[in-house]
Amino acid sequence: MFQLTADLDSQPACLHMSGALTIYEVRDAHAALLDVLLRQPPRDWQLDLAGLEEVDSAGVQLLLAVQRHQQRANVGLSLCNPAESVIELFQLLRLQSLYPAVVAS
Amino acid sequence: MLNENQWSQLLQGFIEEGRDLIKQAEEYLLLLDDTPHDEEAINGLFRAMHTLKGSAGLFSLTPITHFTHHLESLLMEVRDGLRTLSPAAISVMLRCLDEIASMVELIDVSNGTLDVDDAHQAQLLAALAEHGGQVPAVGASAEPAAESGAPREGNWHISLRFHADLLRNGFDLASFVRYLSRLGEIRFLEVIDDALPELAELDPESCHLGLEIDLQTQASKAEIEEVFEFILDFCTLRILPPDSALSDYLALIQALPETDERVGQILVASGLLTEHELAESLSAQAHVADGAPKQALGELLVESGRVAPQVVDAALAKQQSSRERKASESSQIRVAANKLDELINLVGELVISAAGAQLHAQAQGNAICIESTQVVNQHVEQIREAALKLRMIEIGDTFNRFHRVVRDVSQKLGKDIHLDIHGADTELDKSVIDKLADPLTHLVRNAIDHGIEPAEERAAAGKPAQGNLRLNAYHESGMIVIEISDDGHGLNTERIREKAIARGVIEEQSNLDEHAIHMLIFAAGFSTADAVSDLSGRGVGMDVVRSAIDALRGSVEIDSTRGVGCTFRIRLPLTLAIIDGFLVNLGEEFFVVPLDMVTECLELDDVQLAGCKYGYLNLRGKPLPCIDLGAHFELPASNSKRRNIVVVNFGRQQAGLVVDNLHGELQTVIKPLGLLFQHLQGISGSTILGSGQIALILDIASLFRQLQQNVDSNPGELRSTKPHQDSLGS
Repeated sequence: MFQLTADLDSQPACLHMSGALTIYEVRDAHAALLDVLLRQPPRDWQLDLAGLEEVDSAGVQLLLAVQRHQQRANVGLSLCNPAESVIELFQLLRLQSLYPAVVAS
Repeated sequence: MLNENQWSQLLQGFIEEGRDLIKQAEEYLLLLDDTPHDEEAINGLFRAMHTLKGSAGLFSLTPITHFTHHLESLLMEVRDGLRTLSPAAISVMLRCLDEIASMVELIDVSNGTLDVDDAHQAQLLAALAEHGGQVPAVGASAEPAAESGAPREGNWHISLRFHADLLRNGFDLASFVRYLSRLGEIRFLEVIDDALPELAELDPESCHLGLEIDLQTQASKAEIEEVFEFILDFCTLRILPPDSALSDYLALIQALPETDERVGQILVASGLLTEHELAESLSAQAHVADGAPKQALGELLVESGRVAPQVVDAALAKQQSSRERKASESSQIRVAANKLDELINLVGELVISAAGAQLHAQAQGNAICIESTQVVNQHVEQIREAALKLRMIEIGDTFNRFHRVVRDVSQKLGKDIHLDIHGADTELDKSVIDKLADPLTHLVRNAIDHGIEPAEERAAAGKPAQGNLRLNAYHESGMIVIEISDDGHGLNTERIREKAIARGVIEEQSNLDEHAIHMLIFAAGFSTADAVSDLSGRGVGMDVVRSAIDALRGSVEIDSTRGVGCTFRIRLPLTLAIIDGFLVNLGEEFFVVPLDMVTECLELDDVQLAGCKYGYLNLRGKPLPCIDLGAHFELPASNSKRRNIVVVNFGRQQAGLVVDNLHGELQTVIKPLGLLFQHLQGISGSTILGSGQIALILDIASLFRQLQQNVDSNPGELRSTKPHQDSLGS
């Protein structure tokens, strides 16, 4: 199960993700993200991954696509609170552009 | 999740894959028996075992995983030059392959369990460890190792572009990176997301990513490739060895879908190229692009003396061959045999209904209608041929199986025999090939056991010590001919005659020519070998061969020369489903004679053969045995005024069939007879005519035998007569 809740009042606006983001969930997740991102005018977003227990390369691809979407509109995207296993995946694929902290560790 | 049905389908897929892999492995192993240092064979063998182990692991088939693991580790040592395979070790490995094959067959598809004979396996593994191979002398191993490039620590560059379906098929590219990191240290890695579409247009289940990896490892290219073995169909893999020529990197830059600058920067970032090298080569490339004749980058570099031509050639050839291999792999489709059978059945129905349509059109006399049904019929004929071709497979696979048979049997008998295969690409209907395997095996074993003499005897006869067995296949006038020839002592005509008389197969006074005596070995319960060996000689063999070939509507003949050798020649129709037939009738009943067997048609004076079923005609001075089909099948006597003789050929024999009217050629779709009629003599099947009437297909081989028996047993009933035309002429 993937769940997305948007918190538009925080600074920057925050998207809380929870559940899993794997090949089984990406279709739903993609629809949910589009629903939020395309409804709003371009703005900075923070993705709170605290609730995400599992991510695979399909999930990573979706996150990269969101990042590019933000870059094209010239607005920011940052990720926070990834779980241990998610950090390991970012580390493995050296996704410092997505989550700069992996370079340090 | 998978439901039970899907799971057992997957398992079924594994079993089929397993069979293929074992067959491949066996071929490689036999190749190694001939050429012990064939690297390709060792690698192929290793790959087969590795894949089998991996796939078995996916299904938790621990016994197979465990067993293949032993073979795999042994092969790894062979591959790395630490061991060589002795003939004894190859024998043990062949037995191990048999064990794996029987394990694969034992898998219970419904619940995925596998029971094995642990004691037997332990025995095999012990034998394997014992014969495992010797560590070769140091001097011997050092040289080839140096030649093939000793493993060394280096920076490999691996470039991966995935196909859209990768993720959907349950592969996670992260797991491959993890696996790769076990081979060595990943010095550089970048996820290439350039191909990602706009978020709104993204299909999140398709893979749009790529990977550029630098791996520092001692592993060989094959080992790196193996990491990606299971996804080779879902990715484009490019691997550059350490210290590759500059041109190879440039070739990579050009080959990748991203812009040259982007890839170039990746290579610079990974430290494989310097900024300077990159800038220089990209400008060189641009320069070439300006010039009218488009010169490959590799060539340019060679010309300017920067890299040796063979380096570029080797790299290009490697790329080319791997690309070709992939292309040929994906151009094959596996189809279940029953689907093909269904198609052939439908085509058969189509042939019948098209013939019906044509008949009606002709009855109506509508010219336009007749013309269009003719066109339809032409197309139907083309479809028929194309559909039948689908089932045609090369006989080579069946022939190659005999390498193993020859090796095993000749070793058991202490003979040295070489197997020579010709015409392996001759094509034959799959259903025929399947039924041919047993009789062929029998003939091959016989040739080794009885045909080819022991070495001493051969030397005494002035023959080379190594016996020669030859399998040959070729097409000949709508039939396929398969020859099994040996250079042994040939058939012993005297002994066969004596034996035949002793067994009551022939009368003492019967006067048979040599060829006819040779054919006696096909009689039931006949065996000439004095000692019943383990392999053959139980006297149950040749008649079984004969009936198997008869069942395929084929024939077999023997060419044997005393002391020189013996050839068994099997003739088979190309297909069992549809034949060209010749339609005749007897009163109300229609019959089809296979057209291939018809040699000529004559008119018969009815009076001359009246009242007897069998007789001889004088055909241009030669006696022609004749059979009155109407009387033979006990049909009501016909009142047709003019009767005809169809002269049919079967092998070297000829006979005449007396029928009422001739109706000409007909595409005949063979419908097998029901269970009730399977033992009917003289009839091999039925077909449906365009008019809806049923016509029976004559089994010429069995008619010949009945004719022979009747002619032998009732000589009094015979009448000699002449065909009408001849008697008119005389």
